Amino acid sequence: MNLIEISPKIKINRPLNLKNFSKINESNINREKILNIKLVFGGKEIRLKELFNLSFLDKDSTKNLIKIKGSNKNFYNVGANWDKDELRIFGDVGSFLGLKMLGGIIFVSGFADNFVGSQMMGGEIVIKKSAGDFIGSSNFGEKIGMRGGIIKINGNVGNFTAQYMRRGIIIINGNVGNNACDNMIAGNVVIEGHIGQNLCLGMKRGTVIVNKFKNNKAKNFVYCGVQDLNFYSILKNAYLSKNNYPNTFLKFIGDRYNNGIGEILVRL
Amino acid sequence: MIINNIKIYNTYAEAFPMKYTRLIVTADSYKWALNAVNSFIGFATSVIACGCEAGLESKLNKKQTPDNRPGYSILIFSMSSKELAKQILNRAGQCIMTSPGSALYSGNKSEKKINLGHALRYFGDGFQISKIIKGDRYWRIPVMDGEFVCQDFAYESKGIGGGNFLILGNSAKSVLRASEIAVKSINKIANIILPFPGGIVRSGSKVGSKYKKLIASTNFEYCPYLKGVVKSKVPEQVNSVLEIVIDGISEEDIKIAIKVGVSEILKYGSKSGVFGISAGNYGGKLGPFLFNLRKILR
Repeated sequence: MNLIEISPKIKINRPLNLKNFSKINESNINREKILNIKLVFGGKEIRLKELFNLSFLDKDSTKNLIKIKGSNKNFYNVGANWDKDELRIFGDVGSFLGLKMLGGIIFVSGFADNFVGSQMMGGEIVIKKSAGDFIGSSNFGEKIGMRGGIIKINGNVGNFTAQYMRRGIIIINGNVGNNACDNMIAGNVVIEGHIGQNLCLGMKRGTVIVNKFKNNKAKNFVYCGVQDLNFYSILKNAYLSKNNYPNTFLKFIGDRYNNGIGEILVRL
Repeated sequence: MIINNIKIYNTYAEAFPMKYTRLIVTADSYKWALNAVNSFIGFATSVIACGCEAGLESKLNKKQTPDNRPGYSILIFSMSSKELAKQILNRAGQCIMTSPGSALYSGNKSEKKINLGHALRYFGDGFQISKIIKGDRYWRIPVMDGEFVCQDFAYESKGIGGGNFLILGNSAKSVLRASEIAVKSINKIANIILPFPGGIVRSGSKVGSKYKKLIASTNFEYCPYLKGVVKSKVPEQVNSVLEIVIDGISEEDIKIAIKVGVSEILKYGSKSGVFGISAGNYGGKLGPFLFNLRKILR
């Protein structure tokens, strides 16, 4: 694996659009091209080498490990259209982390702002702390959310998580805000912590696994009894290795106001 | 070649190419997994009339199955891709899906897909749910005891059918006992199945018949009953012959199975009532894979 380390030369105190940074995934990329990747800093176009110190360590591999150090909330669009490499970010990041991501891994050691994994189609995003609103959701004015891949968040998240989500899995080890899984089409969401209001409103399909479901008397979600669900073992083996919960759940189906047959599975 | 007073005939078993797939069946207990498996592999002894040859390959513990439940792996062989797909789908739908608590998964990977949950999902009548987990799609079909989980596709690979050896002895009882010993040891081997009842065949067949409609008929050369009537291969002191048929995923696996099975019989010597080990040799009419007994046992 080729190791590329990036750290800012100056304090990034204005918005820095790193959308083009994902060109680093291209197969024909070389050191010169990387140094000249165009970024937008404070509304002005700037080359990567002008803003960052870069160090390269070649290890004769088709995949790269890219480390970004000293990041903050002004770094947005990091990992947009990310395709194959491993990106490790030491610090916080701004909005649109992993926007329309296709593959590879993005690891963030700090906090991530809104729209993490928005419209992503594959790959894996791991955030060690919390994240903002619209995790795995659709972008502004659009109705297609996350379509594949995995998002794991160790901390809490804001509102409208998994809005219009279609495929993939989101695992949140902390709490979620209001309107989580709003208009969810399909996919899987696992929430370990507390949940805000209006969970799964307008849900069509998909699976949401929670520890508590406050609105269990709501008419839009129908109680379907206690169910042993074997598929959970497969899910657990694949993504939830530390999770020792049994396969038995209270099952609610809805949103019936939307003629949906999505499921909220409440652990016993 | 004589080992422990048992003659190893200088002949070869003739086998033919087949298509196969491996499935994993799980349930809440081994008992119910086995019920489902037995139903699936029932009436799947020979492609002559069953459409496929199927058998239990191995017992799987909880760590070896996708859903951490008790299970079994089964191998299904057929002559054509079309027939294999048809048999798997019919049997999965009628034998596995109907069995309480069962789930069905693919046990091998290849580029050629066979519809499994991909077709069975329609039983869900619109209430089926699919889950893509680590690149594989699983269908959750609502059934009366909960849900039937089934992987989207099984996968077809190239295998070999018809590996065999014949056990020649002085009585039906002694030959059956020797066959049982061989079957017991062969059943411990992975990648092969013994599709016939208890792993043993008594009505060994040859290619063709004097009746035009039949593609196979009794292997009269090995019928002790006809010793004096036809040009028989049954020695004078032999009064019973049984065959063990082996389907495997590769030549090597079948060779190992033959070696293990025959060696187990040879351990007991001619005192067991077994006088010879031969093989179903059809003069090259049956297939391109030849398993020379003496070479295998050397």
